[in-house]
Amino acid sequence: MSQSAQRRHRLLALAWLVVAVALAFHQYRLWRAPDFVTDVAELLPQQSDQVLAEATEHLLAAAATQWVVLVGSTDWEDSKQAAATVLATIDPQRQKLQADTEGAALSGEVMSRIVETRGALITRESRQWLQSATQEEIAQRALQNLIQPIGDGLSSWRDDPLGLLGQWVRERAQWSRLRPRDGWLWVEDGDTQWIALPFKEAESGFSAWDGGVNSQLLAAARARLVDQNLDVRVLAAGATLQAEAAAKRAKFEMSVIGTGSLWAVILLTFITFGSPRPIALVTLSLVIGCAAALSVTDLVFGRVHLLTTVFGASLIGVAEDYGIHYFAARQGTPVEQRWEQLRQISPGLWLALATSGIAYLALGLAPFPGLRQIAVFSCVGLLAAFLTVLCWFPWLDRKPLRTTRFAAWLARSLDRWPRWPGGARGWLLASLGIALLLPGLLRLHAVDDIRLLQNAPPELMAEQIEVGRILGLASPAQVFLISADSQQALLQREESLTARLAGLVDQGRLFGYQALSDWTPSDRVQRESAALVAMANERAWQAVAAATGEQLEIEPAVPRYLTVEEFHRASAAAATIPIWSDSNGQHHSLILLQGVSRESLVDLSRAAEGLAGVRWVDNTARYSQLLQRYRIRLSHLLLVGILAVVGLLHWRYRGRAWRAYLPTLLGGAVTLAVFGWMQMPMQLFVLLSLILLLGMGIDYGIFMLEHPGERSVWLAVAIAGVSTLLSFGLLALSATPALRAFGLGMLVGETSIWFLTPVFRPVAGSVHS
Amino acid sequence: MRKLSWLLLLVAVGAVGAQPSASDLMSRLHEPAVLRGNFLQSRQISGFKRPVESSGQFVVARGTGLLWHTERPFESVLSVSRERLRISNGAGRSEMTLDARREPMLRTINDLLQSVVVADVGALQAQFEIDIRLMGQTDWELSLRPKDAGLRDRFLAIDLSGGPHVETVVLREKSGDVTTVRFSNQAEDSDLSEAEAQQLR
Repeated sequence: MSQSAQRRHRLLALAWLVVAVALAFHQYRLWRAPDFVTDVAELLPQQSDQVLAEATEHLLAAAATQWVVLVGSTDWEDSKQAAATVLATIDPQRQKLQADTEGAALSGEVMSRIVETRGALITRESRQWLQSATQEEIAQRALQNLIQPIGDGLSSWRDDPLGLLGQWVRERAQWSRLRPRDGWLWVEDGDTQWIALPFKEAESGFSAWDGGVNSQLLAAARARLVDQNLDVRVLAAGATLQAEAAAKRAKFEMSVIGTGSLWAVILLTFITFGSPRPIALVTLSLVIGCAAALSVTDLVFGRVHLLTTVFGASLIGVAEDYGIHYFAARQGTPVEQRWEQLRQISPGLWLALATSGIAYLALGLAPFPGLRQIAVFSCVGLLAAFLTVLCWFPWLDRKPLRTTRFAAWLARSLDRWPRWPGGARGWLLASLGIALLLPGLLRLHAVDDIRLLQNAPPELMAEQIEVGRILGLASPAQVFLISADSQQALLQREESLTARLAGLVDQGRLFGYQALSDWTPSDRVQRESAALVAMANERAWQAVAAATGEQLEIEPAVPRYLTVEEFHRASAAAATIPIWSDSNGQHHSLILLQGVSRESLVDLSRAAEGLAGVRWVDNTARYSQLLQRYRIRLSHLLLVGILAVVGLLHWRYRGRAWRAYLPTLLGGAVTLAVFGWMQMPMQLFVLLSLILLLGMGIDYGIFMLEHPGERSVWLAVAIAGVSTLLSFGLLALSATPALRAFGLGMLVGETSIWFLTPVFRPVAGSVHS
Repeated sequence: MRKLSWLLLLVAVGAVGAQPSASDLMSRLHEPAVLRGNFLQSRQISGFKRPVESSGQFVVARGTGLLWHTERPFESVLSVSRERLRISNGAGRSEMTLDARREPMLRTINDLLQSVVVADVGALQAQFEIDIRLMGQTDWELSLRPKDAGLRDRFLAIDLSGGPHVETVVLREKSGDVTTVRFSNQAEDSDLSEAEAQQLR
């Protein structure tokens, strides 16, 4: 090696050392306070529609920091005792509990303000009754109210002889099923007397990484209830708990996949090279690769998503390739030749890095922030692992490496590997293959469901659903989005929609809805209501005066309309109804729905028809459509990719090119057929595995074509292939359906390609002849 | 010795200053399963020169509900059970109904009404600050002030008095209206009649 080359190598090694030190520093800071994103929503594509994006934000903002525990028994005393135990365990200082606000939507200050509205606030039912009520009906009702021992106590009979305000307040109370009882928030479901303990976390940007504090407190509370031998059920729900569960699971998967892959690599390296040095160096390249991947992802995206780290753990099985290739070439050759050998294999490694990198980057073409993170993470990880081999390995590896018996055996296995038979037997085999593949491919069906990304444990999801049912919570999955130039126009548009929704509620198609305009109707409706009530009250007073012989001298009170701002200042209910205005001065609000069924979706989407400024937003359907759109778009991309690769290989290898790409194409077909046979749906993430397979599987073909019959190359390909498929195979254990499908696709595809590539190998020496 | 007398004095002072307990009151009250009687109700409503008077019969069945049958000045029946609250006029036509499935507070209202009519201090303690005064050997007075914000928005106070049974109830609403009810001819029973049970179903 020349002096200048020596100096260049030394410089490169030093430069890489600087990078490694910087990485170590950044890693130290990163792990001192880990702050990973756990929310599935963050993996979803950014909304191109600004208003919809704001709507989603408002919808999720309130829910993000809240969670609720329900404690229930058929015996109310047991419920109370159990609730006290749970509260004492989870929140002894009562800093998180928000009991006062949830029980009564209207109390204290806002209640006295509402009494002053004098007829401006009445229910839709009352309006209809007032519009058609006869003099006699009004008189009858006023007299009935006069003699009842209990009134609603809100306003004097004089001010509200028909009891209309009480009706409005009762209807508003339907906002929540929770009612105060003995100082607890109570809801009955069947025979069970539930107590709700709503908690709120102080900060929204909580880190679920450190152990899941709330989940642990909850588990402790459950354990104490078992000790007390109380016959109670405990249900918990909320984004906080979901995030903690997801974090716990992702952490577990990351360590399983990570340690699993690492041990596989270490074991394979040890068996093949029989020396601690390759193990230490390959592990070093992996550590630097993963650290660089994590640091760069953190720097580029600000925060790393947990699913990225799960996926990233499987990178270990790919990034080890370069080290293995280096030692496979080194094995059994003099130490002094190591620089030369590295120079010889590096073009092939650069090519392999490029194809894998391009495949990973292609993942990032889908507009999912999560996939972009994975793409960046993987590319950086591969590059850093490769550069470690290139810059450091010859410096650190200074002793001879003997050929082990296993390595020799594995390298020789190439000679015994089956070859594709020509002639009639080949055709027979081909038709057999088609007979197996085709039915599987025909059974393949596509599913584009956003829930594939959900990785919360099923029991937690079941509790979430039951809590939602008991509390009658509105679902964020489907909402109406209302937009208008002014607040009054907004309220009027809401009113034209709620008139239709009220019809659906009467027909039993919908349990209920939550609209701002039900709490603060538009000025127009408040004015009309107040006028109707004023007229009816006059008639009621006259009728009662006539019946009792009283001289009633009642001065009709002037109504004071309730404003949106007053409502927002004073009622807990306001926080659950999103309303906002954007930078263009447009006003928006959401109408939330309770008890939406699959059957009512069509009716609901029709309810918005023909109404200006009213949009039906079905988030589930919208995200599923998005997944479908990208599944189709990426399948086109895959086809283009296949054509490009085939063209490129033909340009380089001419007539032999098929030997490089056929195994990969067949591997893809086998993957799809297996999904078909197993009745597992074709989805976006299976397609992503095919794209990655195209990028990585072709590598093996390229190596085999570049160095036909060379045993050390086959050795490296064999070892690398096995560790790669082990890593991705571990990904198939993930609890996230999407990652599981991806892992399975990679496992089946990699195995097929790994097996098939040598089957189509050229006869040794034929390239050079 | 000196210490002991101090102690005795303290005990004596404590006994004088102590509130009569709920059990003192309960020992003066009868607790029949069913109580029937007549009522005379007088509501002082702002804007009215004279109180609005009505009278009729009532039935209260512990754990089941309350029937408030107004006969004068006109027929009206208020029935409150665990499942629903209904007001019907003389012709039996329903003027108003509240269903417990829609309004769970009805259970609480039902319990509250029953507890007030029979002065069930044990049950009332959960929702009211209670001031008990005992008079003579048999009589008593009770003042109830709501603890709960929801009730405080509506009622200022409820005052009860009586002997073996509740005799008067005075309800002061926050709106200023005051309702006074006097009970008479109370009769105890162990069961509701068929017709009463029907109305409370």
